[in-house]
Parts: sequence; structure tokens; C-alpha cells
Amino acid sequence: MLRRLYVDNYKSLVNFDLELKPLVLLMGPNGSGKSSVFEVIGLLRDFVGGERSIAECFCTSSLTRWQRGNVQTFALTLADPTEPDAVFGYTLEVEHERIHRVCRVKAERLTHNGKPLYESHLDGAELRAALYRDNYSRGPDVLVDWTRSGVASLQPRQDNQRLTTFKGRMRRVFVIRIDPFRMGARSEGESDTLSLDSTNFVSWFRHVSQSDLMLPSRLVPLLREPFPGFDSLRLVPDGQDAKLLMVKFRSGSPEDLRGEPYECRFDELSEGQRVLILLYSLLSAFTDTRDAYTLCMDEPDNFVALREIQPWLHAVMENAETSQCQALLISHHPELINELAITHGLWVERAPGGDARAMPVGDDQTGLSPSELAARGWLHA
Amino acid sequence: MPRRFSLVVILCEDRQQECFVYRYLRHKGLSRHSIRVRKAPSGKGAAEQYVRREYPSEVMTLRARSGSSAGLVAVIDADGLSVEDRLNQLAASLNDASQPPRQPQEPIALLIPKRNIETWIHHLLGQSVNEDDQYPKFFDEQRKCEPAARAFAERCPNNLDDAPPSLQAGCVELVHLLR
Repeated sequence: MLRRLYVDNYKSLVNFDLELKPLVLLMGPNGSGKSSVFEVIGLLRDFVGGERSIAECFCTSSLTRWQRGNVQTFALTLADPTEPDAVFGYTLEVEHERIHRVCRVKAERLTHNGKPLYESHLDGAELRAALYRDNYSRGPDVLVDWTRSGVASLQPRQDNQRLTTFKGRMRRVFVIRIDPFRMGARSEGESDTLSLDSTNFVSWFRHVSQSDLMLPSRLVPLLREPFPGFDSLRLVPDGQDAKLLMVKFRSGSPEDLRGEPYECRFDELSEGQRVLILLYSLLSAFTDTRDAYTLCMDEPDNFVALREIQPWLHAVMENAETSQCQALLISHHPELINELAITHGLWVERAPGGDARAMPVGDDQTGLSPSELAARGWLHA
Repeated sequence: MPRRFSLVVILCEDRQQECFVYRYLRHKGLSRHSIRVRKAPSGKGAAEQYVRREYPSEVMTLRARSGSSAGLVAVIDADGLSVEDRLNQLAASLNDASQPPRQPQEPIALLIPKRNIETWIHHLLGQSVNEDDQYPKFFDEQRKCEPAARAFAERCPNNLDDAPPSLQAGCVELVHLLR
């Protein structure tokens, strides 16, 4: 579980500290910094995973405009899924040169229960890193590339399994802001991650249905409720390596299994139906798994019919209680706000033109619904 | 210049009341973002019961944010009762919710059109009215209430001598709220 996130000097996030629980709903006005929080989580995952360079993640234009400092600081605390009560601490400092609009890693540090697993810092013009073994004893010092994550560059070894565990856990952080208009039916290959806008959903679905053969047995019953006549999902070959996701329905009443079957390409469904299939696929993929996941979903309720929101939300809540799947949500939707605000909500707000702050939500006992209070900007304690 | 509100909540029975008070507040310089409307769901029984039921919640919410420069306008038709009866009912609903009575310094205005909001609008549109008869409802609420709300904003507080007493009382409430 992602337990804490600290961000300084990134967009509207200045000295921004966020404590996280298994289920969190971030609420607040437009432009308050909610999506920036998810953005940072996704960028740290990509950087630590070695997928993107420092400049691709943290360009100079992401510096807070009203701050003069040239250093951005990011820190997160992540529960170690292999050891109860143990935590990883990861800190990244990014130094920018505003005039030339370039940046580099100033320092990168990974700890396990406060003890070092990896440390790097700028030494003059060089980024010098100290490597540590799983028993925290110091290994060799090396020079590393300041444009990339040193943690990402280390290959798995017998004596750095903790560091490898951390990287594996970071790969199981998903940050999505679903754009159904861009979700196609065709996949050229498998992918174990979902892109921010979920355009590679079918590739991810290929991967999870390949590695988890029980997935359809969990997913299909969930999809039969919102989709009358839904029968199954099927990946069919479409060229050498490509596959198409097909959705099979049966005509007639939902109970009539003798109805005439017919199939649609995934991208022939409505936007809302595509979003629902994605949302339930995510839940099904992360149920009954021993692996820990963190799902950050920015306005998952977009495109979804009102009557579908609460059943899906209840499934998320059950998942957060019974599995190791952490769900962090951003929403303006009254259904989510009324259900989650008091127990799992954080209100993010900025002073005019100033820094973002996350505040707990208070139950003011006045009888007004949380969404009504949120509409007035009165939800926080 | 009215005092600056971060938010004024209009608690009302129906679209006609909402339209009238909303337009009045807009004429008095309040922005769209500083007005929030809560009106009874249509087709859900007596709308006046909704206002009486929700009034204590709104007062409690307001009192919990006493430093927030927020205000409340509650609107409820007198119908067959007197204005005094309606005021007593609202006071009783506060008492039932274990809330102290409305205090003069609190930013709460109670508008009680007698016999109902249409009485006020017909008067403000230049017709002769009394507070006992029922006047026809407007089907084109938006168009009818805009000139009436504008007339009210222009005539309140200095030019309402010939107005129904409940409208004069409503004017005093709003002037007190916005002072």
C-alpha cells in the first residue's frame, strides 16, 4: 500500500504531504491539484521502472511558478508486500536549470525501514551512488547516469532482493484517466501496464487473461449485471501477432441462454460500456491475488450511467477491505462523494493562486449530504 | 453595495420561488457562484414541509460556519396560514432540532409570501392584489419573475408602501440580510 506521498515544487504542490489509506477519495475544486497528485505517482512509477528519463518525467515547466527554488523533491512511503509492517522509503530530488530548461537527478535514495538500499547524490558534476545489500551492508560506490533512475538501472541479484521487490511493487501502481474515445479493439502485443488514458486496454487485457486463467470466471458474472445479454469476452487473432477483443451477447431476455448469439468488436460498444468493461476488468484482475496493487483512478465515473456507479463503487470498497488492492479515487460525482467523503475523503484546495493543501473531511452532523456541502465548498473540517 | 457573501443558500419550495429570489439577489450584485439553491423535489408531497424539514439543517450548517460570510434565504408560502403562523412553525422546527431561535444578527432571511409567491409577482407586475385570494400560477416562470424581481430590487426598501404586508416584511428581511 502507498502510505504517504510528499511533493515539493511541482505545479501547485508545494511542501505537500498526503497520508494515504487503502481507500481514498480526493475531492476539491477544479485546478486544486488533485490530478497533479496522481500525475506524480505515475511519473515516479515510470521513472523508477526505467521507462522514462528524468527530463521526460519532470520537465522544467513543471516547477511551481511562484517558487524560486530550482529543486523538486518527491518522496513516497510504500508498504513492503513481503514483510508485515516493513516499509520502503523512496526520495528523489530533481535539479533544474531554468535558463537552459534542463534537469538532472540531484539525489535519489531508497530505504527499507529507514535503512539504506540505494543512495545517490551529485558530487560536483558527477552523480555518485552507494549500493547496499539486503542486509544493509554497504557495497561498492559507482558513478551513475543523472538522466535516469539509478534504482531502475540495477539488475536483480541475490543480495538486492528488497530493491527488486520495491521495483516490482511500483510496477503494480496503475494511474488511469480513462478516455474511451481512444480505446480501440486491436492489440499488437501484451502489456503488463495500462497507459494513463487506457488506450492500451486490450493489450493489458491480453496480458492479464494470459497470466490469470481464472479471470473470465470472475469478470463475466460482474459484466452480466450491467449488460443484459452479455455472454463473454474473446480475443481473436487478427494478423500475425495482433488480436481483436470481441464481446459476445445473446439476444432475447437475460435469462434465456438459448438466445441468438452475436458479437461486436470492443470499439463498437458505447463509450460507457467500454469504460464499464475496463473498470470491472481492473477489479477482477486485482481480486483474489496475493500481489499488492495500487489503483489511482481519476474520475472513473465519467461516461458511466448513474445506476452503474454505486454497484461498481461497492465492488471497489469490498476489494479494498478484502484484498491488497489499494484504490485512490478522484471524483466530483455526488454518488461517490456521498458514499465515501466522510469515511475516506480528503479535500484538496488551494489558496487563490497558491499552494495546494489536503484537508480531512469533517462530518458536521447538520444533515446536509456531503455532496451538497461539497457543492458549497464547505466539505472540509 | 450589499455586504460580500461567499455563499447565499436559497431554500425554497419550487421553481417560481427560486427564480424570484435568485433574480433579486443577482440584481443586488451577487454572482452566480455565490448563490446555491435547494428546492423541494417536484412530486414529493407538500413542498412547504420540505422547507420546514430542511430549515434546521441549513441553520445548523450556517452556524457551524459562522465565520464564512454565508447566508440563508428560506422561502415558504403562507398559503392558508398567517405570516406569524409560518414564522412560528419555522421557529418550532428549530426548537425540535434542539437549535436556539434565530437571532437578529444571524444572516438568515425568512420570506413568507401571503398568500403565495404569485401574489407578490402579480403585485410587482402592476396588478391589484390582496393576500387572501389565490392568483394564477405562471407557466413561463422565467419570463414573469425577471421583471417582478427587478421591480422588487428597485422598489425595496423605499417604494413599497402599497405592497402587500408580507412583501414589505420580506423586503425588511432581505435588507437586513444584505446590509
